[in-house]
Amino acid sequence: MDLFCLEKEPTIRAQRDPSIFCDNRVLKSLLTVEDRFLPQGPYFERVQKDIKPFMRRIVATWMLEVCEEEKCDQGVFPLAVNYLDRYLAAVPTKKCYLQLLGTVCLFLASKMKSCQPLSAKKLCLYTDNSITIQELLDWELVVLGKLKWNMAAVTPYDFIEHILCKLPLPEDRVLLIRKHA
Amino acid sequence: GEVCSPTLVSFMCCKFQRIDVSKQMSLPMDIRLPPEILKKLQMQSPEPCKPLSRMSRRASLSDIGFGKLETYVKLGKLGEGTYATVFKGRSKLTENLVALKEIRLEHEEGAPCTAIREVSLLKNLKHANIVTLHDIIHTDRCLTLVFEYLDSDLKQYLDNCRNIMSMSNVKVFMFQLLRGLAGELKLADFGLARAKSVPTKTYSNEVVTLWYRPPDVLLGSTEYSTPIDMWGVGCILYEMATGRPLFPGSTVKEELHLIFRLMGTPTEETCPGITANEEFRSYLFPQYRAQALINHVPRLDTEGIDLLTTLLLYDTRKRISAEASLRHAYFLSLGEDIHSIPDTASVFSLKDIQLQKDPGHRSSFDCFFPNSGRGKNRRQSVF
Repeated sequence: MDLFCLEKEPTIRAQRDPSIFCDNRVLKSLLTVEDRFLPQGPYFERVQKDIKPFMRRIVATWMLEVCEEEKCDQGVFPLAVNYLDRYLAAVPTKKCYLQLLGTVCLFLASKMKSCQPLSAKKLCLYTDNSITIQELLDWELVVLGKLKWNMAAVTPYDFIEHILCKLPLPEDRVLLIRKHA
Repeated sequence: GEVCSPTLVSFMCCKFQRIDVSKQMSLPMDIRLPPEILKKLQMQSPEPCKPLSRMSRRASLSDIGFGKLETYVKLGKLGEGTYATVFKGRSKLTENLVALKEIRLEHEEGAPCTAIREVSLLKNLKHANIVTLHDIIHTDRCLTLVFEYLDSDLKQYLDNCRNIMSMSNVKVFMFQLLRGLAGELKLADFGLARAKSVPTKTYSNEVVTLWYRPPDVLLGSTEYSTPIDMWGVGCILYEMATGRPLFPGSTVKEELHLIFRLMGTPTEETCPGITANEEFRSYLFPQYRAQALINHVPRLDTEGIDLLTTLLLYDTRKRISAEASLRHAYFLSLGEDIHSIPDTASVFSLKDIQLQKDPGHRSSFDCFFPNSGRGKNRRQSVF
């Protein structure tokens, strides 16, 4: 007989650290660093021949669905899209590799942000096994190399807490705004 | 276990500088090569007024050996962790000693998240008191990080001066440690606050022994924020001033016992919420009264004792921050200029900041500065 254990190991995580959110130097630094991680130029015209804007939308929507389904940390999706755009701005890519690339970006972003990153196997399942684990792992190194291991990108999501703590709002409204931001 | 926490990373990497190290051989992005290196490699020095184009700069960096494994000679193994092996090495470019951290990228789940976090965070960091990442070499299935080589840690330093440090050196080292930690804010800037959520049980024992852990963590607090490090800083201040560790407990219970015996058993007043803490109640500690720290650290002046006291507060909200402590009266004697030097500059760039001879130090200055130019000529003349 199989015994199923339903309790999940509780995730230990940091609470808000006032020395990060109450310091203006952090916000300034975020603004400076953000620039370094912006994708260069309109890549659909200049770099990509095969990939069109609507394809990016399809793959980004799929990435968001995976994040929602897996209840990923909120920072994972914007970070993954940042990697996707930076890669596409640098390397001409065939459209048949676009979902593989999107999967690799999710894989890497969740490794950066999550306590329990998405597993390679699970991600491959989400592509309906259209990609293999080996492809995912091989491409991971390609993407890391092309992005020069600069994975600590600043995304719009990183600003939300900093802006919220500067707004004179009652606690219940803060929760609402955070949810919709 | 591996360390994923930025705060902890900075804590580990915080280095005590003894010599003003030139930071020129840093990451390839904004590098200016010393002319002697260009000469050595028989390369023409670029015209000073004409900046290199990005392309030619990249090409030239690769030409002279950046990003190439052949540029470094392995000298011996320094240590091995679960995802990396560290070697002592030498750079053929600069002849400087380096630490080579080899990270294996072939795992079931691909590149380890610790490696991705470590590399991308360190690439964004440049601070005189945080260990410098010089180069990154990405070969087929392995990533090698090239760090500056730090010749000794605090323990070795204390051994070398027979645990009697000059109190003025204690102050300079303290300032450097706090500068590195205040700079930690920059680490957290990069949106990696999430990486802090790694449970304490995965901390490698060697890095965080129980000795530097604050009582709130020992009592099961999962709140991981910057005050945790500040408790450890207090322990280190004590250790430098006295030459022995402050709370050398070997079990959690013993650690707490040592803390409470000196600092007093926490009460609702000194540590709000403590009386409701089940774990604390279950230990049934005797009611110790706080002892005067000055009796235990007689060599530390009044301001130093005050700083130590605010670092060792039970209430994390009242414990002094790295930023605030840099402005503590204890450091007034270092002068005002020390607050305006850029992050990337060493405190020794100020002519007034100098290390004194430690009262207990062994034989000659050389044993502290085995890698500095100092004394090297003398040694050579022996042969």
